[in-house]
Amino acid sequence: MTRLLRYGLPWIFLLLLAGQGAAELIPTPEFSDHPIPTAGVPDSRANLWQAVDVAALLVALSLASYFALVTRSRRNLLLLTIVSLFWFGFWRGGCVCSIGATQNVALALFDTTYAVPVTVVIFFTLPLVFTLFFGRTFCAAVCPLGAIQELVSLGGMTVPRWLDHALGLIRYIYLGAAVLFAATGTAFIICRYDPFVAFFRLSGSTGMLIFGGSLLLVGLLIGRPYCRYLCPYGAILGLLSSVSKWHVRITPIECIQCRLCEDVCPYGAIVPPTVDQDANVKTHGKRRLLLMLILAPVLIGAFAWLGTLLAVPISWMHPEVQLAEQVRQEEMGTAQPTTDASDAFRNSGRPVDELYASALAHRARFGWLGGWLGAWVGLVIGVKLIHLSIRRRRDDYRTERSGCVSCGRCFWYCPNEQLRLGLIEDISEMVPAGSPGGADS
Amino acid sequence: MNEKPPTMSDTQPANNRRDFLSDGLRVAGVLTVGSLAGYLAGRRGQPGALRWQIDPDKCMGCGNCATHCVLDLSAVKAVQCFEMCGYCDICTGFYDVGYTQLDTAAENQLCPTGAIVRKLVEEKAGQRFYEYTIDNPQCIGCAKCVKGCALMNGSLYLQVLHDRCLNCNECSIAVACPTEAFVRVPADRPYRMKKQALPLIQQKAKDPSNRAARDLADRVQSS
Amino acid sequence: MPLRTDHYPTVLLTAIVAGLFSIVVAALLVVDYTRRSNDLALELPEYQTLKQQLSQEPDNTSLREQIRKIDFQLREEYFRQRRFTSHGAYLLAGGVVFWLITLRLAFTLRRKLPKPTGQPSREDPDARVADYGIPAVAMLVLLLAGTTFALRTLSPDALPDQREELATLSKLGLSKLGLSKLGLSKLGKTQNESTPSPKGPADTKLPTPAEIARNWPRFRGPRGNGVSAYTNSPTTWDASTGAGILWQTPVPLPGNSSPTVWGDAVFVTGASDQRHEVYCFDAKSGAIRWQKEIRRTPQGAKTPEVSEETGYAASTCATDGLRVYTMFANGDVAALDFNGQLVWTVGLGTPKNIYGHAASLALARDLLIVQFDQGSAKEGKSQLLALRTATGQIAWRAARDVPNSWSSPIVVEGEGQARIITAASPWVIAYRATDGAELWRSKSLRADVGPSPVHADGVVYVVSEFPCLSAIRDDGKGDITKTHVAWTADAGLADTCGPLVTDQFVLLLASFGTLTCYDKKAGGEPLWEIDFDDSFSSSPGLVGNRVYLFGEEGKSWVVEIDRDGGKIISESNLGQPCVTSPAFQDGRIYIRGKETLFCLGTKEEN
Repeated sequence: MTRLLRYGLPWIFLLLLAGQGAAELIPTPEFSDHPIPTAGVPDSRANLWQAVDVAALLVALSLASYFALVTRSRRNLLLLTIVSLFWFGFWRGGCVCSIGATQNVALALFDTTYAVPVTVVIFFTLPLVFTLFFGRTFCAAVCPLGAIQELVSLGGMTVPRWLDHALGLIRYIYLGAAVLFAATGTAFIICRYDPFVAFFRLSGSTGMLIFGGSLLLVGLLIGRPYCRYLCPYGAILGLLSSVSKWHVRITPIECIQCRLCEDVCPYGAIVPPTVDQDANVKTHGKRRLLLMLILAPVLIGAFAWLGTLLAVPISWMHPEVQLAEQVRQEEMGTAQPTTDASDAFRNSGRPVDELYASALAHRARFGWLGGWLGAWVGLVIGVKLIHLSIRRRRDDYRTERSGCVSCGRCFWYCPNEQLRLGLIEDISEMVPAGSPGGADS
Repeated sequence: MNEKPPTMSDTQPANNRRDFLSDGLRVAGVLTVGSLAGYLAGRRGQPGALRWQIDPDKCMGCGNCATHCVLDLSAVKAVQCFEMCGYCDICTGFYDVGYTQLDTAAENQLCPTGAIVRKLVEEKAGQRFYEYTIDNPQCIGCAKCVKGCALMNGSLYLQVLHDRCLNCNECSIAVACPTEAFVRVPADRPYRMKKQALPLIQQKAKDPSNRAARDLADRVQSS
Repeated sequence: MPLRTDHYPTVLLTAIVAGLFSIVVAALLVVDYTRRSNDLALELPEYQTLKQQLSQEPDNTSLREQIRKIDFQLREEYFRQRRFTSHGAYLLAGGVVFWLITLRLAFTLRRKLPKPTGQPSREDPDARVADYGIPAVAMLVLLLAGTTFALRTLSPDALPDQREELATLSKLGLSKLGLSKLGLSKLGKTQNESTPSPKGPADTKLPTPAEIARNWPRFRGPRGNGVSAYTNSPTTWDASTGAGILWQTPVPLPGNSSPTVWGDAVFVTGASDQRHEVYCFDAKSGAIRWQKEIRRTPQGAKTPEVSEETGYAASTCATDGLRVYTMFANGDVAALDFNGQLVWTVGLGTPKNIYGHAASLALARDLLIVQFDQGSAKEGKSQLLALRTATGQIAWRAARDVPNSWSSPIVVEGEGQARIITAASPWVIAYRATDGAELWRSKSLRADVGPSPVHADGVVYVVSEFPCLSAIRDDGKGDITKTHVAWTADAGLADTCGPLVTDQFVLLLASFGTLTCYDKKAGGEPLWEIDFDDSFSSSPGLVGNRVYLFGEEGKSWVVEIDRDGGKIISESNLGQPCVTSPAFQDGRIYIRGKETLFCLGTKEEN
């Protein structure tokens, strides 16, 4: 009978515990002279700013366009750049920004339950509209990411053309990936890998600080690396800029082909005039174009196929798939220990088969989407190749419209501009007679 | 001086075709962008601004809020819902499991920064009742008290405090949240409460003299 | 404020100063940042250790003071570092911006017009790029293809591949989570989940009944009745001299599970609250052939509260010569092959059991039977499960309306269809082995049921501390309490040790030390009783007409029995406490003491 005694106690204890567990919350006591307080919560940080931001964007865009195209004032553009950097960057913490807004818009287009705030839509569309009329003046002096790089850029190194073209493709691919992940509600990768936002907030993860810092260091010599090679929004703006109504010009009047501006653009956006090609070269060019036109669909197909193969790795970005993988590996005894997420999942009481089914559905969808992304990559490369194969006539030094960010650095180098500003009396002061672009040539 | 916006200088007939193409593309672009903006902005009324918030019923108190916020000192902090609190003497949100005495000494406290203030309110029928208040600047959002309090009433829970939150487009804590407890809420009602607490607050807010409760009820998303 | 070229030195100097300032601030920030410990510095291990120490010696005031001091320092440091970083960041941002502006100004002041030399290139630079295009793209395609395949192979993909597989999974109930989450109470009395054709590696080499009878494959032997197939077991041994002990080997982790034997392999399990292990001993030498840690499944992550008398490894393992099957207190069931390789694990979820799970495993051909009783009868958590031995898939499970119990199921083959007999309070229930359908039940027990049932000649003998020992005829249907109980008796009732049934008698060993003998057919009053000066948790064994008893304090007895009484023919000394049951083999007895596993026997002279 000792056993009963020995084990009787824990029984009673357990019963007591069970009784307590089943009980309701411990009631809040009523005090004789102490009313139960209510905790306050702080106000939202300036909802009003949103409206101010939209107004600031409109004003900044107008000013930037005005300075770049009408008054051609590099100094004012620079001042505006600094103001924009402080306002949109440091003061507003880098959010909302037009680059990131791309993802919100993409998500809103594909997920009708997501209500995209009007501010975000305006931030996305306004620069697009301005670019259609005035070129990339948004990049010149409004975008805080552009601004920080513009200020850092000391110019100097020219990136070889082939590398410039190749790296320039990355932003289209990045755009495709960003839209894909945003539209599926997987992640906002542009925001996640925003290199400068950590600087704007003066705090951020070490990884992103290092990434942003290295981009800035590179940007000292190679102008605006993020804008040129990574910025997905810049990719859209570049396309729109090439059909813009007006665009910033190197020279205020007419090019005298003095070649002074030839190498001064730190962003490699000044292209020389074309020369007449001989017949051999022309035939070669035509054959090449034909080849490219045939190649493009092949590329699209090949990349689309590769994309479909990426279903598993791409789907890893999705939290549900990650969770399912984790749970599954725990089930098979290959993952130890459990994660917070898998513990929470188990507490939720959701059947595991449903999780698997949902993850598999996501994965299947990512197979399709990976195909589309691949096709997009193929299309981008194909179009690039075709574009490179088409010869266009240029009579003088001109900005390459899709690459030019309207920063106005080239103005000063143009003798006509110096003449306009009254810095020189006569063009011959800058371009001695007899030189290639001499006044009398 | 150039008074007019400069237009493309090359207006020779050879380029007319390109200009025409450009114009067409531009008009198409404007139309697309315009209709896109119109469609999104006009869809189902006008969505206001959104804020991040934690659904306290989903939060498991994992501690990621303290470490994953882009701010060095997280924008997430614990709040006390006094209406749900049991005013316990032995508060599982205040005392560490291995506490030795019921005092406010560091070795007995659960809170690593001593951000919970314990104050005796009344002694009734041999029972002491204490009020626990979060000292906001000290709180680092580590959720230790949230986990502790969950053993009893769960009146302590985490909230994104909007005087600190930068409202990132992609909240880094939301990415790291294991229970998908981070939700976007309307900016004019940017707080959430526990399901059990909401009716208590709403009840209290009916009393016109109780401004604090009314303020809170106005800021809490009701669904 | 027009800047002139002769301002250049001033501007440059300012730029240099600003640059140096920024570098210093940045360096300080980096140094301070690297000095930061983990983000919640307040979880410093030393601090935690001190706190733990304090909980052990709550009156140590100097320890107290030390903790308070460290706590204060840590807090100060935590907020200081954050203040430092935030102030430093502002300084740095200001410094860098100022530096950039002055640097830009300096560059602008030194700006010179380029001197274009030579002739402008006659070739369009892009034309050449276009020529490079095709080989470049070809390389890119290769590169991307490589990356794609690398990513494909590198990314973990554990999800079931096909939808069909998923469907099969849920049908089989293999998804173990599903099992614990589905809520067994809702599943009705018997959840028959037998599938048309169980897939998985077919076990063509299942042992024959003769093989099973030769070995000791489970708790209390082939039939779970403690009866040896051999008659040549030793009768005396002495741990103090080593006489009669072939070998004894320490078992690394404690456990109350008994040894099982197959061929020359002896298996026992051991566990702490952290670690679960299985040991395979070489029967000849006593050396540990292998020991294997069974890592916890997520379902069994929670360590159950168990009483010291039960421990974490109370369930005796079972073996069919192909694999050894183990179970621990947290509800984890695992199968290992004879080389110690894990074949499968299934987490049934940590059971709610007041003393800790203790039921041993049983085998019914290719099914592993788990009596998983837990909680109260009302909670409806108890169940009987049959797992496929090859895969761990659940073949069927039957909900049981009984509370937690500690008795092990037995499998009865022959004499009709194979069936499983279980004992718990208050029901003795028989199930069909193939699908878990209930055959009969009898209300014969009460309270905490520890002794396992024994089946002999169509009668099931069950006993618990009260109310009685019952002999139940095993051929009924439905509730047979009133119709099939052949006899009951209430003297010398055992609460832990299982009954021992010989050809003529039923013997009970009460834990307080009394061996009571009843007539097998008639029951009624005891034929005789013997008192021993020890208490007992080890179920008795039978070799021929000799009964083997192992006492909790280390003494052991061999008693020769007949109708008139028992004759103690030997009293031996095991030298250490023993609560496990012996395994009888040819000329040997394997018995686990508190610390070591013994092989009792005499050296064969040859």
